[in-house]
Amino acid sequence: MSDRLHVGTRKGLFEVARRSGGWEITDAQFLGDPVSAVLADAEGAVWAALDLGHFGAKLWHRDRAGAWRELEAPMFPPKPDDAGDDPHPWSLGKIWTLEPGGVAGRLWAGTMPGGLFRSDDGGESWSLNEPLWHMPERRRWNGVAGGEQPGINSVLVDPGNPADIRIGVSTAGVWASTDTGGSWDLINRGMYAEYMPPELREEPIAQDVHRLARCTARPEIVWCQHHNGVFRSQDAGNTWRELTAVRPSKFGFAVAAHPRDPNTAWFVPAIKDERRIPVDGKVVVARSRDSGENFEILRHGLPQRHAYDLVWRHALDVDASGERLAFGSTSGGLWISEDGGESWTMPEARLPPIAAVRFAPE
Amino acid sequence: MSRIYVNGRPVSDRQRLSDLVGARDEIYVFQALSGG
Repeated sequence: MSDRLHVGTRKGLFEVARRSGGWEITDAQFLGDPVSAVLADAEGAVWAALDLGHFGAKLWHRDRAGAWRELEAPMFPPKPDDAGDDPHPWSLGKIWTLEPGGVAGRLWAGTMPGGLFRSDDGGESWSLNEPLWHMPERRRWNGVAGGEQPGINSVLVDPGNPADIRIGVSTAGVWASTDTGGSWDLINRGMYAEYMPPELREEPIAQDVHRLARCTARPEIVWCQHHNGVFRSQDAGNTWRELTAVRPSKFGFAVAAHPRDPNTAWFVPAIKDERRIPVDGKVVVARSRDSGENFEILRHGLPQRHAYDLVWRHALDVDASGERLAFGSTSGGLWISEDGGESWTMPEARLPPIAAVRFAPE
Repeated sequence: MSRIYVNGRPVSDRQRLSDLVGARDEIYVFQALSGG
């Protein structure tokens, strides 16, 4: 089980470690700076993306000896003259997700405004995935979170075949590549966007995929928290079935898939969608252990009175054992479970709004 | 920025407002949501 958790917040990056007395904050970096994504490896290395607004997106790396150093952030090529009708900027808004590529040294970065970047040297250099960026359909991707920039929020790499990749896009559905990004297809069928004009409601590209999570042991099993519900796929994201049993609500952002049990996943529901607060002011986790046929409400140790925490899409994680989970909220709440979500504890801290939590692999 | 569709077609011109709207067209306006 993982004893180390990294927490990216509106005002810094925090390391939380398991000690004999429980979980405690053991390190704080980039205090005052927004952290948009974080990734750690088993040897102690950490990558942290900063979203500094006017000053741009930055990428930092902590080596295995513990020293921090700034890396070159992913960069878009100049926007060519003949791309004048591309509605999206050709410049990095922010790094939204960082994922290991399944090959030594390889990382993927999903960004706003929708560029996917690859590094083969541990983040020292990055290249834009041009086949995806140059697809004509990309110009139909829609913005997220009130902005005009779409964002790649999820990058799922098949652990048995690193050439097989799925990405989730807000707002442009699920895209697949089976040749390490050499070509891409829009694949998702079975989702619906209930707010769209009727003729576009089931269009794959119209789907606001908030977050995807894949079962490590059974990578064809993918779970999705979507703007209009929760879904599960048994064919690596090609077709989806809505899980209508989810409760207390079907809206939310985050999902975590059990790494070994394809039938188990966790969600953190909220009131859809302009409210964005927990149902009845109670923070709960919804867990299914039967492929989404039924959901349990897990609340032991979570605030159950006047709690208005929202959990963003990258702020829920499960470790490789499937027993330890963590989630953080926009109110700075951080909860950790060591029993698959049955009970939760909170480290002694009052943190800034949390954007991302990530266990370090063992 | 909110998203606007005329029938199933996204409005594309926010500068010159050149997208045509007929008397029988249906207009969809999606609220721009942000924050947590």
